[in-house]
Amino acid sequence: MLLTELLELPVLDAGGTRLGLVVDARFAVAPDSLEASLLGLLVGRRAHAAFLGYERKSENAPALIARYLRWHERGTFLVLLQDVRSIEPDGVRLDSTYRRYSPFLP
Amino acid sequence: MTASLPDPPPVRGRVLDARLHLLDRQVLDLEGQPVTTVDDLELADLQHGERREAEPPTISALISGPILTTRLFGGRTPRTRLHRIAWDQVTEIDIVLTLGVPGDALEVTWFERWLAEHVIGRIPGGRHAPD
Repeated sequence: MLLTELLELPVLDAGGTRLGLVVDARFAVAPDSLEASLLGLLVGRRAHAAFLGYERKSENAPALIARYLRWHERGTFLVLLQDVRSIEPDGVRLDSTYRRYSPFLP
Repeated sequence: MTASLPDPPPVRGRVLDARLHLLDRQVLDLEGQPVTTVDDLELADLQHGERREAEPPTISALISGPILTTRLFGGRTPRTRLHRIAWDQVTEIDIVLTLGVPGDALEVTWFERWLAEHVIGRIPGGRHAPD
């Protein structure tokens, strides 16, 4: 599967309620082999969002832009791959026990 | 709301977001020459359907190709027009991605090589660097 087939798919909970769209995919890169493993998906409110990633970083400059974009992308959260029940062409479905995590990068 | 969410469990290694840190990044070859940009990523072991795999999917290749029109107007570029660069050829991830192979060895540069050989090379003085 290509990453762009995953991006911007609707994300639904176990009951079918729409939670948002896949705005990005988070990977862990092994320091020695550079193998990049999928950790989870970032779920946001709208397509083409999060292009500068202010909602995932602690940068606050330029202050006005940072504040606006963080407000604009409010509600973004991370779901771990283990909480993803299925990936279909029309959407990503999560387990009933899924948890929302902070989208901030470590 | 975002500020009140718990942090995810810590993981070993560097954490990257694909769209933020990889897509549209320039790719340099072994000698530091620009090769292409990252237009997409190929994910191994990720298929449509219920997730049953115990192991997480990994990035298997960088994808490059003519994707501008599909980004602007929608649709998908046919797979046959996309070029892959195996992920295991990536040696460094930074502002740019660096490969451990020369650009001439990659399928993605075939058109540039063809143009140099058949068009630029036929122009007088086109087969050597400017003095």
